[in-house]
Amino acid sequence: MSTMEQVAPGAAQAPVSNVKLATTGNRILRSRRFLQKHRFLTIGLAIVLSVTLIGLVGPFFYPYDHTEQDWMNILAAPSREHLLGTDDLGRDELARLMVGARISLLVAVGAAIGASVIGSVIGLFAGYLGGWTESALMRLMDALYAFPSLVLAIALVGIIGAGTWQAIFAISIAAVPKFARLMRAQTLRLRDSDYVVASMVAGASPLRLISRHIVPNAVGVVIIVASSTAGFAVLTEASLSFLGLGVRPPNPAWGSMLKSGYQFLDRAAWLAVIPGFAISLLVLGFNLIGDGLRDLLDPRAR
Amino acid sequence: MGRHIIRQLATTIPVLVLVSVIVFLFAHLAPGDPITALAGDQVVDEQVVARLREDYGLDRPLPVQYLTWAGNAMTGDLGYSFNTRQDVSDILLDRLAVTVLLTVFALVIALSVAIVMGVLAAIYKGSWIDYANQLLAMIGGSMPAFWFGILLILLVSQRLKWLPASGYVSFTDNPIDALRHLILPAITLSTGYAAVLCRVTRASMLDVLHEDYVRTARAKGLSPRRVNMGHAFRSALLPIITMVGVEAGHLLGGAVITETVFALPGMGRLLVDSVSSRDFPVFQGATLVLVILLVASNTVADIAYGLADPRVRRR
Repeated sequence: MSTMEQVAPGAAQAPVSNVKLATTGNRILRSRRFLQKHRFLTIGLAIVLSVTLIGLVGPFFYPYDHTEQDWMNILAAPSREHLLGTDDLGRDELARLMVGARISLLVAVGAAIGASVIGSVIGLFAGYLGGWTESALMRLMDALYAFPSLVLAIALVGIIGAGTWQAIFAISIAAVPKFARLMRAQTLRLRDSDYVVASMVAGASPLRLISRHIVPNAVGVVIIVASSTAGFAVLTEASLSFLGLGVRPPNPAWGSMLKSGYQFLDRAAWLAVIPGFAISLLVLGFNLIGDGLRDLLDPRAR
Repeated sequence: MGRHIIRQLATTIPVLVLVSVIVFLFAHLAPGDPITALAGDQVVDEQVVARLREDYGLDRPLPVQYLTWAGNAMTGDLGYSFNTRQDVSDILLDRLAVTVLLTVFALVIALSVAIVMGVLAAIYKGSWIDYANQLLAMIGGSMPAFWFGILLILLVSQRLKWLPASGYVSFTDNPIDALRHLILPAITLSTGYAAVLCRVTRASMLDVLHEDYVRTARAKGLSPRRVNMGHAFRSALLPIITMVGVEAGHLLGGAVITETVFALPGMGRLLVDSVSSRDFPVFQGATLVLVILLVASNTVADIAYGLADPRVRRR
């Protein structure tokens, strides 16, 4: 085991520098061909990366703060001064939209990681241990799966209260059964595969079997589902915020911006239209990444 | 056949029992007990609180409380609303009709759109029809329902003034007006669901079109239409039936949002209101009914699958 670990970093550095120079051109060509072939993945990545960049860097280069109130400009239409107009408190819509991107991304990443880790651990335990543990865990997952996911998220937020982290937790739990089922199926499949049985016969400990053979081979499928879960999380957080059960008001979550814009639909329709467009775009980005990764990692699924 | 149905029904029982435990715990895990939540900021006499706790049975151990609640729930007694003092079952019955009407309407729209689009996309694979269809499904699956609903209100109600933007008219009062009020909500609710079904239809139809018997049918000289609809579509329908049941959660979850946007007095709206106002009996009842609806639709889909595919039945 230790020898393998020592060899691994060396292997990564193996390409000699002059070989590297010669292949740089090829590599650019190859990656361009790759991106052309996997158009979904490319477009999805472009969308998510742009939203991330705008959310992280944008506010620093924009003259208005997202909390600054301009009482002379209330519900102002998009203009040179306020590119996307202002809301009912005279706050700049674009400034709020950019800060809102951070919340959506935080929820997307947080819930995708939370759900995939919790769900995978449950699925792994259930699949590997089998028997009584498996039945108990999987029946619990069946029960959670029986809830419409938005209803489960609403119910959980009802208990733990509204807020960004609460929303991340609720959305994670709503998505856990999917990962648990997936990981259990993967574990069962891998546990009975020849090389795992061989390794077991050779005396490998359960911990080693799981960490060396089962987890690395199941991780691809989990990542595919995690990226579409990120899209689901953005959509669900927006729904919770729209219902007034998600991120709390001073924070400009896209869902709550849409909700407050909805009240001024006849006077300032853009306040409802623009955040909704942002939500759709980001969800589309994550879904495209999910589809693209599926094509890439699991060609049989198509 | 009877055995198949009984077996499907039997598998739902443990799920429903666990679900009821979870729903029960939801209300009891909330910080503070329901009585203090109910009292809110008002200063309430300790003795009054103690008596209320006794009245609602909140001083007994949790398992006893659960059994009492579940036993009552089985007979249709879900307690009384903290806010309105009404019987929870009565409130739920009132609201259920709206949600069922809305979801069935949306289901019909989603299925018709998805099947037509999915089948066409599969038959004309690689053509502009296929690409347009995939693009629409992708966009439909990414849009928040409430946003699409708002866009529809802006266009159809405000600009064109064709249909009302919100409100509900009972079907028994005025069927035509009721329908007019339900068209926009139903379209809104159907989009995400239609997008999923459309992708399933296309994939399932493509699978079938490559089967030997479809090639044989073509070789026999049957018209493309008879091959596509008579041979291919009938078997492609199986996965679609399953997905209709499995993804029904989309519709029920979406109904919560749609009812809020269009101000419809349905189950979803009731759930959100009961969470906001911490009305636990109503909250428990509404959640339970929504879950039972989803479990029921899954079970119906499983049974329908067995009816359509004799291999499943015999297994």
